[in-house]
Amino acid sequence: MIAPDAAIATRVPYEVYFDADIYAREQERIFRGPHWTYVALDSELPNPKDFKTSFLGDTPIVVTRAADGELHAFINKCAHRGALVCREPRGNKATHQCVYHQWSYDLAGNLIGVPFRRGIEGKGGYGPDFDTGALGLTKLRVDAYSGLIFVTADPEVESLFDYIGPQMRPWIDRVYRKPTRILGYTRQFVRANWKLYAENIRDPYHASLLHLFHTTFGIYRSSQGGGIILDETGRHSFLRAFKRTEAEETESYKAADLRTYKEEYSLEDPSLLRSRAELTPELTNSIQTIFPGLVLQQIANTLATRQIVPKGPNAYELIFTYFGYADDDDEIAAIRLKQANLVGPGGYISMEDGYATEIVQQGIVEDRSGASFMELGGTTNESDENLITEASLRAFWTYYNRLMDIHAA
Amino acid sequence: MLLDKPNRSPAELLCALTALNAEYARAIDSGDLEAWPRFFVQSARYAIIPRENAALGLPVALMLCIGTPMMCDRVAAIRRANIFAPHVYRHIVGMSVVLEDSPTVVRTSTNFAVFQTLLDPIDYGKTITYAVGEYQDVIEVAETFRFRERVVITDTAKIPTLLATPI
Repeated sequence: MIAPDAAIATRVPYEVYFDADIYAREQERIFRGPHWTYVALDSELPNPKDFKTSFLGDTPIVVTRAADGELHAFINKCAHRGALVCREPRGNKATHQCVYHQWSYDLAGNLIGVPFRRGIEGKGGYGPDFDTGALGLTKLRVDAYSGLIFVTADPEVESLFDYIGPQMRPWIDRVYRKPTRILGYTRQFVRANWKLYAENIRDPYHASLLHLFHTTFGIYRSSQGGGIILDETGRHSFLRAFKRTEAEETESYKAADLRTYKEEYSLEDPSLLRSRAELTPELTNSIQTIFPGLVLQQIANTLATRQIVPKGPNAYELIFTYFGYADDDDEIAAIRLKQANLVGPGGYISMEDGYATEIVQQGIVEDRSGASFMELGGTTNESDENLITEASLRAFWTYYNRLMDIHAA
Repeated sequence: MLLDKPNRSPAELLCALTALNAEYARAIDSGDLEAWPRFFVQSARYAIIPRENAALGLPVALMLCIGTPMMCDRVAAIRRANIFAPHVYRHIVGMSVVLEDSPTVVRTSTNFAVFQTLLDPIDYGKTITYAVGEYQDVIEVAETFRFRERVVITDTAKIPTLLATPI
């Protein structure tokens, strides 16, 4: 048996992607453990009494804004018999009532109403020691950073500010520099383990090799400049790409003779890619991940969060929340909608991601002795000024294994 | 049958709309995607919008083409760039409801269901209900009917894996 930390990062045993026991342990140690999970944007809950349902791993939760403007979050499970209390995805309510026996709760999750508590005509009901104070919904800690709302089930975990950390905060601030406006949602259900997507978004190697849209239409070649930034735990990452000069790009592609270097096609309507500079520094793409389930993307002028929601060992759901800024003018609003073609389930440069994770899941089926190979750019896991590296994946797996104690196959 | 004549009957109109939708579905289902933009006038708008967004008044589309050049680009990307599991669609299209009938423009609502059959080696031949919803159309009435606008509202918000082929 190889020591857990050393080998796991470059040889990830395939069974972590399908084993039901490992999945159950992840729910406990990762999603219900000492981590903050992204659940909403603050502009989704602008008014008192607004609520939104979401997930903490598998667990259904509700995030609410109370009358005083404070955010609250609780597990969406009645304290009485376990029924889902909140049965709508979003809305505005002063109280939340379980339909089964009409137990009702305030916006902080406190139990405030129990029908027939004293019985009828002195018969039935609850005894004198019945304590509504002890029977609320299970409350979660909730906090927001720059407009992103997170929850945690762990009472001890560090503050959200510290959890995001000094390496990641500036990149969130870069995008969340002013109030946002929600533009819409897309969702996709993918038949693969959630960590395959966690890898995918940390993996700059595949960008120009799997996603052929830009290169096919001669928009850019992928030897564009860029790099990765990791936080000190390795669990979060920031991947950025910017344009290099045309000559540099073309030469390195011709030299490599890749199928992705083609010049013969062009878009009939290139307005799709007409962008407007708006963020500093200017980047063509930036993909930031906050462990375990948030991706914050800026691809040209499309801004979105992606929420990775595990749905058992062999499936995950990906929820895109697209946004602009509250003060967007008509031109930038139109650019964002047009460029939404680039991302999401039908995105020109993102539809392949879900599919890539599925073909891995299909390929490794029940292989309990094999492991994936992650040595691109060496075996270390540090920030780097290039994109031909798997350092960010190794960092993810190193951190994961510190939590999960998986041994190499 | 001259449908742009002012005195066409409702039955003639319904018959023409049914034929339009049947031919549209047949083009996509048979894999003739190059024919797809030809069902639209040059400046037409095509959008696939989850019902979730439509109900909330939010504009984001799963696929948005403004003008037939963008539609041709979508087809070119499907043919040459995008990677996805090989599959075919089968559209089942309902009877159109005519919401507005003028001599030059007809506005309609038409239900649809799209089944997707996968042709990859793992799930070969497996059929899933891929998307159901409603076409909200603005159709230019001439000798040939063409869409000025086709907004595909999908009740199906949770897309199975990905969306490559137009609906």
